[in-house]
Amino acid sequence: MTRHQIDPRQHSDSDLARHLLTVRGVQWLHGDRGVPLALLLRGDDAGRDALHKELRGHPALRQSDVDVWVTAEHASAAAILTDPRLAVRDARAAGRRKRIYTLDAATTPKHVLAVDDLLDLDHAPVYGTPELDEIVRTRAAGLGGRFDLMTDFARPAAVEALAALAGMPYSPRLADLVAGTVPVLDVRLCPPTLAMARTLVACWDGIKDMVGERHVVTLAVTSHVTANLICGTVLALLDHPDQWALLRADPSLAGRAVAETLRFDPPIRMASRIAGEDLVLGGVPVKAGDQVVVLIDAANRDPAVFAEPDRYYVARTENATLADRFVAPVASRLAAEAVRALVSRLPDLRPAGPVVRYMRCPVTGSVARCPVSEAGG
Amino acid sequence: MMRILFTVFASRAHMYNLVSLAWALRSAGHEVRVASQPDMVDTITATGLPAVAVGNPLDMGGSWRGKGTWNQEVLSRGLASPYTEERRRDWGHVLGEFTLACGVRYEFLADQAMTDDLVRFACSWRPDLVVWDALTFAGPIAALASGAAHARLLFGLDYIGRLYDDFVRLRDRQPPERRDDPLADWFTGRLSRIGLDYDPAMAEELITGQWTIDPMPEWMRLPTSRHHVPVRYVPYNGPSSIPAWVHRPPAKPRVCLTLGVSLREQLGRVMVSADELLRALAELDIELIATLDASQLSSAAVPDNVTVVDFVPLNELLPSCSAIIHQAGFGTHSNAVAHGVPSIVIPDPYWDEAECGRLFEKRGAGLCLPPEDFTPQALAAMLCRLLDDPSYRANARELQRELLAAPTPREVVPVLEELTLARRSAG
Repeated sequence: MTRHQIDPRQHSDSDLARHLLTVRGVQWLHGDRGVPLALLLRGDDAGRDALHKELRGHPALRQSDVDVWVTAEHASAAAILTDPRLAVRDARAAGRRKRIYTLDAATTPKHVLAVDDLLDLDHAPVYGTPELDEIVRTRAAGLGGRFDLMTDFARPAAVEALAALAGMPYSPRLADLVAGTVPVLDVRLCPPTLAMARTLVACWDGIKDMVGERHVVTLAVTSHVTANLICGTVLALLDHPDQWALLRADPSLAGRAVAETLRFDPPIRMASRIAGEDLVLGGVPVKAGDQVVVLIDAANRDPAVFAEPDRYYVARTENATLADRFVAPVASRLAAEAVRALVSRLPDLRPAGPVVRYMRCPVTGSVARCPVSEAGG
Repeated sequence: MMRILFTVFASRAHMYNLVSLAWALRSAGHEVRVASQPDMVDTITATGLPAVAVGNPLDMGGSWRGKGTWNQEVLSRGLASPYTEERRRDWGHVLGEFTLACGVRYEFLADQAMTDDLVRFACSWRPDLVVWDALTFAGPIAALASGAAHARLLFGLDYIGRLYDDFVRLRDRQPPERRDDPLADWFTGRLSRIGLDYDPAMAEELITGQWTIDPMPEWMRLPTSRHHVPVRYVPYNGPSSIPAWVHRPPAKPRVCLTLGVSLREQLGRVMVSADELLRALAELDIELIATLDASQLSSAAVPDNVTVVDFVPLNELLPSCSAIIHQAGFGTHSNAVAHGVPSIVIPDPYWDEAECGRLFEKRGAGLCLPPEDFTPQALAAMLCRLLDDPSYRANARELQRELLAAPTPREVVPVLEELTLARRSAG
């Protein structure tokens, strides 16, 4: 936890609102000055590619604030993510009392909220089993006509399958709780609204009560990663009809399609690390306590590593995507099964309206709604 | 007899804006207090009005520059950054404005410490009416906490009201998952400290008051459906003693030059010194009164027809002036209108200055020189035009007549009494 990374449960509405509003206001200020990381955290989806381009090239590590660094390059991103001196938590701030961020604070905000600091939200090494695939297939079998890919299929399928893994039956109550935890991976870097923050911790705690500490990450984190990966894959395929046609001809390519989505539109777009000691990254001195943000989605399109990086194609063989270290194996497995079931059952699927993404979710780009229909449906 | 609590963040210009109205209420027999941060107390007491210090010193323009880190530099710039109405009034723009406002700007001007103190004072003094400067959002919170009616006092074009209307309209068009609302979070937090739950129906009054006291002349007002109580601008320029030369009739047309931020920045950017500017204007057959501080001038001799002064009250100076060159700050342009003096506006970047310049041109009572077009020669040429063409003077006199037709602060007192009474008995 960094200095201002507070647990919302321990703060009044007044303090929590001030904290969230001030961090957000300062992000907006930095964005107005053209700081790329701030613009990305603001959720400037339309400008994302241009911002990534601006950040590429020498030096690999760019300064975003006095003690905040960012990289869009694959090589430095990979090095940072595997460097044990860079951790998710700020060891030096661990024992200190966390303070809300205010305008007169002497330090930059860095991490914003901690929902459950004891757990590792970044990496859930959860594996799936063939029984889970069956749950996804059954869900897909009920689809037809015009429906919402996220709310009618991806999220409930992910929740039901992962609940089964935790030994729980699917229930609407559980699904609602999971829906309330959508911004869980975003709140470390992007302040949610007050209501989102309160709902998030209430639902997180509700899930924990229901499934226990051991499975809370599976339900409250992996289910969103899975559901966004399903939507991301289907959207990429529908946007590239030749690739959809490939899958129609051979649904067993679904796993490949999901792997390419992890590169092309990863369900986790950025990761943040805190330097545990003074160090030098790509020739740039980084001090202990500094924040280093890795733009996974940008690194995944680094032209130094990927040929035609902006093209989505299933047969791609470079597999150095950085996202897979954040995505539990079960998420990729369930997504592949979902895509296989969809392309087999609904070969003429097509978009049926604009995709809506949640506000203040720049880390995950979480999909709220994704209307699709069968041709003629 | 009513108790009326004025509140304003620690800015001299904003404080001066309420003095005439506060005195009108005082002389009508009402009790008046003016609450601001401690660094404004001396300025308030110098007006003869009783001051109440609330919160910590604000130190506008000082503290942020002093701290040195990048973050704070950004903050100071954010606080001063122009409110550019010319930007697209789309969702991204209005959301950004209120995100900055609730997180940084409004929050800085009237922070939690100030609000808490003001609430405490209001709950013990029990005002009937809180009159708050339109950027001092501690006011409506203190009014709700103490059960007072509350009105907002404008200091320029009502960009806040218009922004709020745009915000509501555009927010409600967003899909539910994207209806971001920093105002709701800000009010929820602030109201929770006085034990109230925020309800979206409360937002409008918290932003624009139960009614608005509006010193802008009709021709400068934005269209609105809200309840505005017009009041005549009556100049208050601060404690002043009047130098004798002010009262001597000038031998040549007298022109007043006040240097706004834009002009100062332009002087820096185009590498024009204040000396050069004065020389260019001194070549004209005028008497120039320039308000500059000594540091802006080199040791070079000031031309004979130029008088440099640190400060001279415009209300006393302008009757003898044929023109004024200014930055369209509220107090300055209002003084110009109140005395029927034509203006050259070199607009500052803060609020409505550019729009005011445009409106002066539209009414034929002045000319606008955008900072990017500024040269000493351009200014001198424009001034010649303004002085040579009598229509500018005639049109400025017409604006003066219109201003004088608006109800004086004294005449507004019964209106405020009635509105307060109606609110108090209703609520």
